Amino acid sequence: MNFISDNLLLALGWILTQNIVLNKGIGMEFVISASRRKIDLPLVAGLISVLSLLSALLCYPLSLLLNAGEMSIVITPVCYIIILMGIYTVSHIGLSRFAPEFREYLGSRLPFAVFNSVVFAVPLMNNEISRDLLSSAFFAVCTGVGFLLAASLISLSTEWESKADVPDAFKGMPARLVYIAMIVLAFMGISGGIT
Amino acid sequence: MKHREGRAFISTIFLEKFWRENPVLIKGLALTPVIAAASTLKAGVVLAVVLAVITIPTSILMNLVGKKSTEWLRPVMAAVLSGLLLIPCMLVLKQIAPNIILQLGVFLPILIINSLTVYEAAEYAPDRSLVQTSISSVAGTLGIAAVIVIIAAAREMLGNAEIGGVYLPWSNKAPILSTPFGGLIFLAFLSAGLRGIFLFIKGRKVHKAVNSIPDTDQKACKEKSDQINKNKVNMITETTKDISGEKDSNDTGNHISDIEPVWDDKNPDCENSSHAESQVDEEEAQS
Repeated sequence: MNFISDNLLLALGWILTQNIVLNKGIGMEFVISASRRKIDLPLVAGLISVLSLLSALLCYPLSLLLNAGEMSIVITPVCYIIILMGIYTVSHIGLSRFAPEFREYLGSRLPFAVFNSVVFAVPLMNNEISRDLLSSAFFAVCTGVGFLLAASLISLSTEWESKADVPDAFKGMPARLVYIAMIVLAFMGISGGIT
Repeated sequence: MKHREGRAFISTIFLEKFWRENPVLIKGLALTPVIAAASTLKAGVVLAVVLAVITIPTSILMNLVGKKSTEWLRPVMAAVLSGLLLIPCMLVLKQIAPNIILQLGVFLPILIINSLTVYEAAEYAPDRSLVQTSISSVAGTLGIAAVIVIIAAAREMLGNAEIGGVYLPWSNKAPILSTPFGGLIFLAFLSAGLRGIFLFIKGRKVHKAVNSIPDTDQKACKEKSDQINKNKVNMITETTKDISGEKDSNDTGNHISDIEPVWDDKNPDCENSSHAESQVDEEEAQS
């Protein structure tokens, strides 16, 4: 029982108080871009969860090997990028062969989902705090959920923008940034970041 | 003559990427380093330099190599190239300023796949000429670098009451400005400021162009538009009365303010004013 409740609390923490997008500001441009198409949000968030999980699992053994060396801080990012490259290549070839229709439907969403700061930051952050394999995988899944939450909240800004009396210069991106800043402030309040 | 045309071409692309289509302020690319990592001037300068070292050569190499590769491979090639370019940057930083690597943490490696590098190198570069790609990547990177440094300096000054390690005369600090919230707010105001300048310039040009139309034409056009507006209001009032069956009611719920102004380019009767605006747009596009 303790195990379940502890992990549930941990997951809530990673989604709400240490949200990779809203609390740390990682992958903000990707979230904004994804939130423009509400219909795609579950698909993109699902892809990001799966890809984060894969990158976390595949990068973990590598980080154990690299952490011993002095040059790890220099080499690790390149090695992780090569792993992401492998994930992208395998998923592209695999989907093109076994599910060509789905690959066609995904279109540019696949490279967009693989090569973004959120998926790349997951193994880097796991490595930074030296998480074990299970925690790394759990963090990756929670990151995907956190991404979905952030994107869903940001996607509501279009409704707000159409109703609010925004000055001409603020219309579009500046208004959206102010809106996101307010959400970030709220999340900082939840996490206790404001004293 | 050719030399002058070439210079004009170069300055057009440069201004377009640096100013009119600034990657951060107008397009919203590479937001992560700006809002999350650039909280001190030193960090901002390091981020700007590393971004330049990664993005410019990657774009040029992708222009040379990317044309021969298939479209799905381009993001992979761009990411690997920029990853390899990060190695010398990290080695130099490790020697010069090891603390900054620790301070920036994951934000330094994340620059490898920032959206500007991926967009410039994988999508823009392979389909353009080498000169165009080079100027575009230099201008785009400079555009981001300028924003990063300005925001980082402002956040450090107001958030920590210091700049580059030197304490400032005021003691009031707003540490919240060093968080992503501060980055977003600074970015929003900077972006709105740039858009405001564009709107002001465009407004002045339109004003000048409208003023150049003879007074008699302007008056005739205004009269026509007033007449059309009046007819529109009457028509809507009648229709509403018919629908609601309240022909005797005075208030139909429709007001003049609810109706779009006629003095716009959709109205064929105001050809002069719309022509003036379109002329300004064309001039802007040409310049």
